[in-house]
Amino acid sequence: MNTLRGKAVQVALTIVLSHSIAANGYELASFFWAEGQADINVDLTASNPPGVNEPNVVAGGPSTAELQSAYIEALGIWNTTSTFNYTATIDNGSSDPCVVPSVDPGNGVIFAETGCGNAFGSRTLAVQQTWFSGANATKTGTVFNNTKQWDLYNGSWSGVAEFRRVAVHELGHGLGLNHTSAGGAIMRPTTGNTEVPQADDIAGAAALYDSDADGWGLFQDNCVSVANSSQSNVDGDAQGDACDADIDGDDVYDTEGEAVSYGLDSLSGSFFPFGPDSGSDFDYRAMTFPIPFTGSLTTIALPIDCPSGDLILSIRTLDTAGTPGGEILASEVLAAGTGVPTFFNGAQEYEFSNPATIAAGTGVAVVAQALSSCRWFISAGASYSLGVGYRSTDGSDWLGGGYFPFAAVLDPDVKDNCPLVENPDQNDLDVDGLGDLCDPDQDNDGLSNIDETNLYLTNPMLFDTDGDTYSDGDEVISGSDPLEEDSVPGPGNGDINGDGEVNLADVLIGQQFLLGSLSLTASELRRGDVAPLIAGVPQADGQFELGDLLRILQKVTGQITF
Amino acid sequence: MNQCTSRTSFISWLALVLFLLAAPRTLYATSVLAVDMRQLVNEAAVIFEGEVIASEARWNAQRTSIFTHVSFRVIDVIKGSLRAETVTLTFAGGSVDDLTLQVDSMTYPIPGERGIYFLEDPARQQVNPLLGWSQGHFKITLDQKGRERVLTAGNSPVLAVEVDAEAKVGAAKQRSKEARGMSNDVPLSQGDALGLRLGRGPDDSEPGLDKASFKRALLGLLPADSRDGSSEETPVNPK
Repeated sequence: MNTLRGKAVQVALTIVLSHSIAANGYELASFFWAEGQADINVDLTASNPPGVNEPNVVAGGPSTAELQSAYIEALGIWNTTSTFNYTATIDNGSSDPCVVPSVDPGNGVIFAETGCGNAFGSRTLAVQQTWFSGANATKTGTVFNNTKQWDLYNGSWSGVAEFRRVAVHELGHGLGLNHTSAGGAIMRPTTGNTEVPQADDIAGAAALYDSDADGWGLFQDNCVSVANSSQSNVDGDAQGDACDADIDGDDVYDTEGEAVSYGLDSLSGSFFPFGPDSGSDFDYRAMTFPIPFTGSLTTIALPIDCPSGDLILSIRTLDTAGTPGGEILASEVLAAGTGVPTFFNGAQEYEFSNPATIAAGTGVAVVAQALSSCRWFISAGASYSLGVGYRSTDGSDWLGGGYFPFAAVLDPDVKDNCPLVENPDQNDLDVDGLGDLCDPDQDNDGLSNIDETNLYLTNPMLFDTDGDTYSDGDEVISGSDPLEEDSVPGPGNGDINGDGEVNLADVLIGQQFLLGSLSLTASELRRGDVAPLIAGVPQADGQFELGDLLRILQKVTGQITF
Repeated sequence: MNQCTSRTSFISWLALVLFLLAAPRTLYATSVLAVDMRQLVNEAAVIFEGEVIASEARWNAQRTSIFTHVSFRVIDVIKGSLRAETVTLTFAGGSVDDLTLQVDSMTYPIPGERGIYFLEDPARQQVNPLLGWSQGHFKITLDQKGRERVLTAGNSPVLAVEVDAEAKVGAAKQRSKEARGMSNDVPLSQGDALGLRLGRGPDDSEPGLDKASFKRALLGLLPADSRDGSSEETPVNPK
């Protein structure tokens, strides 16, 4: 739970820091691409066919094919310099940037006499239009003003609109950057020789698509919220080791209180209102998410406030349509002002008094119902790729909606006894809490598996290979043969810890054992069992008692020898 | 279940306050060519002072796109003419329910705002009806003494209109650049029209021109025969 509280603080500080930076440099738009990438349909021959509406170029200027290549080059320029990823679907038909995504969902680029039916005006070169729901971009497109003449060239601005650098600039808008005041940036509204993104532009893109600042963009980062520049991924699944609750992929999870976080990294000032008095038609908002391991869903963290009225928070199973209309597994009523804040207060943590136990692989939903007026704050630059957002007027008829940030804490029923090695059977021969596949001493005989196999030729899975009741390790330390039943260790000499010396460390171990703060293995007990001494020779009585400790102390202090 | 009301809550609240304070005030235009004040005054078909009385984003009739319709109470027509006491301008983009169409980086006059607006061609529906986008958009606010002061759309106080002075400086800079083999800058708008001397912020330390002085400066940039409002009424953004 403390982890989540820390996270909330981090969220708040991130907001301050990011906007402090933005005040002097890059500026972020109100949207972002949840996948960290966008594919553009690039087919200028289809959108601007020869003889109909060809791109308007200077005399002797570039062909349509050359302009198309320049636009694709502009996409690639962002890919090579930033953590956002543009891809292009080439010559496969065009998409109209002017049309709502429900009609034409593709991202596109066109030359046109008007800006989507409206005159450009005398001063406009190009317009980048982006559709988004909540903060989640769904479509973007560039419309180049075909009443202007275009050309392609490098270096100094000649007075003729240069297509490539305007395309780079507009595509910067398309990925979520506004104009910047930083000198030299491609997103500066006045540009000269700048033809590619500069440090300020790259930092802006990173603020949206590399929130953990590890150099890996959202589209490729296997831990979007945890810096992991190595991208180490033992099990090869979608999550890197740094954020994988099951690093070895054996479906047995590693630690208790795993937090599954969605989009809490950078909350923005935008929000989805819901509730009967919120001005929205919807009283319910929800996010579905997968349960990665069997356990108890104990806690939810949410950036929701309720200016008026209570909030009902519940965990539900999914119905047959995959929407949050199933069984209510856990539910809490949160009173406005005491249970849930009345103003935006970052992500708050809520524990369920009766946590739901949920099986791995199950899809569930966190459902928020406003009884009067609540608001769920949204994120910019975070991944929701594993969840889906919904809204509903009555809690039963669910429509697709925005994507909502939250975190869930799951306590796994079983902890992995080998977090880094796949061992779904969880075998543990010596029952020491370390699974056999990652236990360096599987039989707990005091010899490593490697030494048993290569050096002593004993069985690494047998505590006592020769069956003489003495462990292999004890025999090696005592000088007897662990492979011969007739060869057994001699009487103990007081070297309890078997380090080859009888010293104060052995005295302390014996003292702790007698005080009950330490237990002794059979080998340790045998080595310490020196009393009584008869004719200076230890006579084992199968016990470690005060007499044994005194004899060892006398040996350490030089009063006696044996 | 209890709401966490620890130090986290306070820090989060503080963060929000700081976030709001740090939110940029600058307004933007997309790839829009720069325009100086003389061009702005002379190329605008209509210049009027108005107050925004309503703003609504709606789907178009085909439900393929979203437009924001901003209605103004006309207070004064400085150039050209308007046939009604209220006009409605249509800007591309806006938000309806959860869906937003952002026309990069369009800014919309908001209800309650008073300002001076330069219309490029009221007879045609444009992506942005304001000439040069935010360059043709000025706000009027009251200072502490109740005087009306003029700000740019980006909230910078307009201290002076200095078209000719800036032209001389610009030409000198250009000659210097050419002498050093440097390129021209692309003349894209930075949000504010050229030929303005601007203060740093909307405070009384640099209060900027009052409304009457600004209007006089605008009229001074007009040819003499254009300084009276046209008698012919012009429709505004027919829908």
